[in-house]
Amino acid sequence: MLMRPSLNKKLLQNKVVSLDLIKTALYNQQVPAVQNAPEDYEKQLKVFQTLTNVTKRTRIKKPHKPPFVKNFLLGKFDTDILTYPELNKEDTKNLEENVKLVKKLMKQSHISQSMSISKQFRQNLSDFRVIGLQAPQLMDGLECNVTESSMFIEALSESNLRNGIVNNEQLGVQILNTFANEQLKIKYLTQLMSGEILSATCLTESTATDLNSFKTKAVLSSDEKSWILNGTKNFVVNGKSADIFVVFAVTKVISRDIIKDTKLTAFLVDKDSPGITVKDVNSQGIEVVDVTFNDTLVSSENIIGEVHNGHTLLRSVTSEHRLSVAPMCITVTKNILNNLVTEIRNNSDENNLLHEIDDVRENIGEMAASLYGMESATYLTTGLVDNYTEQDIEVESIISKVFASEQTMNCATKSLSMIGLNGLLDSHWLNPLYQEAIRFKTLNEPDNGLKIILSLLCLQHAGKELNDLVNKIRNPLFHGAFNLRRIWTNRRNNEDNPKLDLELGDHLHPSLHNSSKQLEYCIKRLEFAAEILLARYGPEVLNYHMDLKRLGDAIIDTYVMTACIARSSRSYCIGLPNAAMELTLAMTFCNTAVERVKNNINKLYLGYYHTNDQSYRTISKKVFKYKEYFPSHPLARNF
Amino acid sequence: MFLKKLLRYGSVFYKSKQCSVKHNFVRSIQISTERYEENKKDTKALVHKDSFENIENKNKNTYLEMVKIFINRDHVYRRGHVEFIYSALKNMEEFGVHKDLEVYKSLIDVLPKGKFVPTNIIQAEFMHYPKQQQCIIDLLEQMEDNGVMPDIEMEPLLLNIFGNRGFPVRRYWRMMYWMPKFKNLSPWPVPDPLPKDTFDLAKYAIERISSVDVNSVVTVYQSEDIPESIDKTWIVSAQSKSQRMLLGQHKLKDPIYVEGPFTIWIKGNPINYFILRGEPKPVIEEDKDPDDVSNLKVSLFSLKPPVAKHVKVIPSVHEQEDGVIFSVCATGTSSKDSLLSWIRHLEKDGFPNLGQVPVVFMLKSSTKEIINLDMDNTKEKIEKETGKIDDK
Repeated sequence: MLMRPSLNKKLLQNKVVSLDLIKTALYNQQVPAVQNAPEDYEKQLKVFQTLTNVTKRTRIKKPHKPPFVKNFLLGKFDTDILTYPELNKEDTKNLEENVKLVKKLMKQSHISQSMSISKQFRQNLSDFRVIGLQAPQLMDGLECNVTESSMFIEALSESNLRNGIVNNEQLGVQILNTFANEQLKIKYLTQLMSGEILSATCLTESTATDLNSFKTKAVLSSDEKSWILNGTKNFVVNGKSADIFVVFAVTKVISRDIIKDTKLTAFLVDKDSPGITVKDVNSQGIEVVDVTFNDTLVSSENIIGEVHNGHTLLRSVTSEHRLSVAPMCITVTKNILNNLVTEIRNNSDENNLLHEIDDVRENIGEMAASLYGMESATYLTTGLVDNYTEQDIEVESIISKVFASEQTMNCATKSLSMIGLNGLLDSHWLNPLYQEAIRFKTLNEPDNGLKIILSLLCLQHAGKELNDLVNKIRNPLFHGAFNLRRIWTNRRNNEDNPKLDLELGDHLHPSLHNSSKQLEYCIKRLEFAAEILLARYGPEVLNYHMDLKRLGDAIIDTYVMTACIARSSRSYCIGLPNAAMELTLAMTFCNTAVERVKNNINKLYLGYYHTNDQSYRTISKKVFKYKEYFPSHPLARNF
Repeated sequence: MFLKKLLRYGSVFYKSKQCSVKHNFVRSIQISTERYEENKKDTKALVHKDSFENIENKNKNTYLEMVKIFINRDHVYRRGHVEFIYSALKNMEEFGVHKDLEVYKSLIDVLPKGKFVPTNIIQAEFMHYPKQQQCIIDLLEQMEDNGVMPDIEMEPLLLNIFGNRGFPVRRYWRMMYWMPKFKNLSPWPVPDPLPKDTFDLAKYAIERISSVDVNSVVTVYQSEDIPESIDKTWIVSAQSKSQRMLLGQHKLKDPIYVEGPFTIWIKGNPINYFILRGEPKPVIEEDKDPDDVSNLKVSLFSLKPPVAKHVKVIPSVHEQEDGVIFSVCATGTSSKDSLLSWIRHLEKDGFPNLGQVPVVFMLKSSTKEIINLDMDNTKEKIEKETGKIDDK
């Protein structure tokens, strides 16, 4: 049922499968005026085929919930989240079957050895309907929800071209799917989904710091029918093989005093349009280019969504795009771990049983625990999107991305140090995976900045509610009694011994009682940390990145702990294979994570003179003053 | 008076007591008193002074030759060290050796070894041989004033002369504690010895001034490149990215001022420099509640770590209360013409509109030389010349 005859697909290219057509086909049985009779027949056949394939997928979402992680900083914990999300029985069965097929496909030699996302390659994917996963069934998509598409991405990531595939899927296809009008959908989306063409999304610029500092501009032409595009976009994934570009360009600048707010618009640009130059950036294993637009004309019809609406468009796409990095990381880490196990088994002999060495056990154990955390966090987040209407997952998706890419990098370095120099040889299995791990950390948005953004987003949320409190703390002379009282009421927090009264254990299997207490501790500490940070720095908190990163780390750990505990509790309660071991994995993760949280929050509490923060600031100032590393050589003499 | 004598000649008594078995006690006293009387009459200081001042060819070699002559003159009893050293110290600068450690060491070496070492606690604490000790202390002080740091070899030298309780030795130790610490304290180190060329000095000076902005770039222009220039000289100019931006934003109708010369000292050398200044910008006070955290501006998408944005411009270090400083420079001649060449170079260097901006030269006492040590010239003529630079 899943396999479609490629013949049909080829005939269908550039053909219209609009809803109108389907309606006519259904109700009137009338053939629209088309010149060529056999082709017309094919088209009708195709339409019927699509219609027979449509199965009604009703997904009832639960009502909107307040943001989950952001509420941590207010000391609120939604215990509903401790019920780990799941799909219904039928969906799971279908999904597992399909994913198995895709996995099998990715293992075939012509796919696994493919060096670029060629047309052949795309059509192979399209035959399994894995381009345009979330597109409606009437467009011949699978109409997946986020959870399902994540699972497909996990399978697709078996290929070395994972970044390219996902980029096309999560940005190009998703943007068109969610925002494009019918015409654009018919013109491009169908082709994209059939693998005829490939998309690349031009967003980042190397000089830009945020969305308001892009230099690529589009100006309405004099006849007001088209836009003239100028500028350069860097690090465009798939840029070389792509046939269409989704370009974000500044179309309006609103300045208020010195702050400049820009309005972005998303354009769909044919690669063949005049004035486009594509410059190859030398990068291994991934197709990244710089695209320059020089007076490129884009018709107004090619605007995706509405004019000046690029921000909204990006906002809705970025979260899912970030989230989609996590399943890729899961596959990569899984491959690293599995290959490492094989390698260790192969290398050990009777005299030297490598797999019984304590050091190896430690590394493998740690890797498994972090992989467990990655998986749990990713699917908890997808569950949040799928189960609740308009759930805010800004922070959760960043956490999934940052945690997954960081742990992948960790695992890659760990296995590199276990394998040794061999691991860097071109022929070794680890080399491409290691390169990939680096890319996960740096491509699109670097982890470092994301971590800061995530803690800022949380603080922003907390700031709304804590404003009065912060105001009182920051003005002790106006609120003397309050501040004196606070010394007493806050004493347990100051002593790093918060009262654990959330009773999370009531919602979990009793064997996880200890871990649930650890989680409670983390929540309480995060609440305390938010108070400290906002009270200490006020609105200037944006500039204190060292503390923000600590808070970010603590938030990440807490969320992943939640995910691990919820997942293992579910597994244990329903008796999945190795469920007992899952408890151990979850507890292991929680033990290490709670230590990190404790350390991070204590440093936040101590402030910048008791940590190294202030020293780093002065040192760095000096380095920039001298424009180089300044200390004299250790052997230098003064007299 | 007796006590003073006892202290000064106590060692003689002490020594003579020790060797009284071999020598006649009375005789040794006689000898030392004889010497004391003899020293009292000594008027050699005058001679030494003359001898240093009478030398025609004053350089390090002749100076050291003088020291050698003094040492070799009296083989058995060398006398008048203190006077010799004082007169030698006085004449150092004329010989150009006041910054030479070797010379100071050779002067200390003039003193006899072992003679001035105290032998008991009273001598040690009450300035045994005070004149000699004070003399060496003065020598060390002169070294310090001239920024000459003693080295390790000086320690055994002083120890041999004054023993480890001597005041010069203690001073030496203090100097060796502090001077290495002060030596490298300057945030703008210059090479030692300092180059003589004013061009190099001007470069150090401009680098020092412009270090206020990390992104400052020091450029050297040649006024020869401007065909209309009269003075053919160099121009060391500094400008940072933000200064370039500020100059680029400058309105064409507002005048800009070339002001100077101001003085900056590079290790005792005054260097004149000039600034290119615009009218001060109005100070804008941002009306913002410093406690309000209810509305933090966070962008969901950021490629670099976000920083707090301000609604109003935060003035850069170049925007001061009395003006906006666009650039600084030092020229070889400090003349008005060379400054004009500077403006023309800036015009060529990315500010084509500078020609249309009225440039006001506000120069105090037009100086020809970059080094102007003439302190007597107190009345500074303020020369104001206003004029539009237009292409001739």
